[in-house]
Amino acid sequence: MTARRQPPRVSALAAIAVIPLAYVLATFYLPLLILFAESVRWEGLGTYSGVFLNPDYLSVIGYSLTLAVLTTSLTFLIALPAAYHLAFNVDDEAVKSRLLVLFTVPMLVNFLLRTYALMNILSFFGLTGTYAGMVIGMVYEFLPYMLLPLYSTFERIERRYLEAAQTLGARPAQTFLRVTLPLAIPGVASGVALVFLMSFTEFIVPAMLGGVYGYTVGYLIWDLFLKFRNWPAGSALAFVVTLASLLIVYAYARWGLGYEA
Amino acid sequence: MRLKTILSGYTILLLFLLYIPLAYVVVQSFNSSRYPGTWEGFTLSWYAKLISDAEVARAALNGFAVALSSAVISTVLGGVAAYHFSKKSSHSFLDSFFYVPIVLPEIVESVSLLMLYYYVGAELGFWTVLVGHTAYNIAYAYVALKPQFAITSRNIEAAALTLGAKPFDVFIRIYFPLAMPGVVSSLLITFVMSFDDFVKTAFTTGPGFKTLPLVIWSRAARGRATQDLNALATILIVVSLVASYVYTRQVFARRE
Repeated sequence: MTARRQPPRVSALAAIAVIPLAYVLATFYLPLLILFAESVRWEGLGTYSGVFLNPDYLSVIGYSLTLAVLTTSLTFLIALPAAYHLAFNVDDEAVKSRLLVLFTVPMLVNFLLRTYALMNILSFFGLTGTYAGMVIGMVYEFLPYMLLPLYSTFERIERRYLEAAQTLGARPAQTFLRVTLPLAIPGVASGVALVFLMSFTEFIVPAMLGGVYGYTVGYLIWDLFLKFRNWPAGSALAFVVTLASLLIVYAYARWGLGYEA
Repeated sequence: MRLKTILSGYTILLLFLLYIPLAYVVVQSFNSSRYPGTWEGFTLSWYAKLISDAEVARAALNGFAVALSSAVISTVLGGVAAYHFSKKSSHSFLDSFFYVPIVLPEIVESVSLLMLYYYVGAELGFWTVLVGHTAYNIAYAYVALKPQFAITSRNIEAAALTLGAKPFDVFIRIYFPLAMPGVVSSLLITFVMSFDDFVKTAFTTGPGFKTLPLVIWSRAARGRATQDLNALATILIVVSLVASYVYTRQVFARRE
């Protein structure tokens, strides 16, 4: 509206709006380009085959995949009942929003701190440095990231479909498995993808809680950069992670889940 | 009906479990026992020890300087972007542009930035950490502020313009005050994100510039919890809990 009435002033404002874009381009997107450039700088795409055919790296990758699958499945199973409850059973909007806030708040408390806090409890039970302790830590960290997308798709499901299923004689379990869950696929997909990706690259939790079990892809990337100084290999690994993340952002944009307010 | 009760209990239990570790650290930081564990009585001596710890004091000051600068810079820059682009109806590309820095694993961001710094020959320290934190903080500020600007009615703007206000006045006198809750929550969240940051700081800092998370990491990694660390963690946890509570309530309030 303003744009049409007073073009010169608005273009000055637009010029200012370019600054944040330029900033993010220079300090976020440009480095990602450098990441790719570094990964192909010496051996071209050979770096990638070098990384993904190296048995040592592969075993770390495989190990992280297993850990990520385990973390994601447990997180999903644990988050599901609570997400369902929040969406379908809590009718009081004020209570619901308060509960959601309470589930979200720990997500914004720093990872290192939360992990440190958990380390206190785990060492009380003698679980630090064990595989179980590490998995508990992962589930603890990622639970809200699963719960919130699940909740938001459940919330959007047309209640009429569920009523129709009941009217037609479906039992509650049937309604859930054959109507509710399939309709919630986008939320399930984004929660699963997000938690999977984060747990695959997670480094703090395994390093602090996992002891000898803690050597994951995140740790490997860390070491490739800060310890072995093998930047091309580290870049190749990190770039693959980037591509996977971009796919997830695409899914968010496509199905509009999660961050939009 | 019974299932509903069970689910309700389950949800509350889950919430409870999310907060127990945090509460445990807070309680332990007041425990006079030398090691975390059995309660031996109330004390503030761990906090006293913390205050006299020079490394902690310097790290706190460093973190505070970076976080405050980053919060102000990113809220201004993110706010400008949010204000400008909230007026466009189609913005999914720009939204994604700002969401990617939030979603991308921090380790990827950090190693990339490290290489940028290396190739431009930047000296690692305060400035490189600040620039790095501000990169993702702009995205958080954008997310916090854009809906806030978007809800301000275009009619108010039209009325102001008709009455002779200049576009800049419209921003300062109308949009900005109405977006105040968003500005506050943006400042809070970006401050906390920076103050708490570990991975990006670890990659982009140089010798001699440490922040509190780096101190915690170097003292606790693969080691055990100690009482003075618990005191330190308590301070950080309380600060982030308060800030993120305000921020989150803001975000959810807007959804309704």
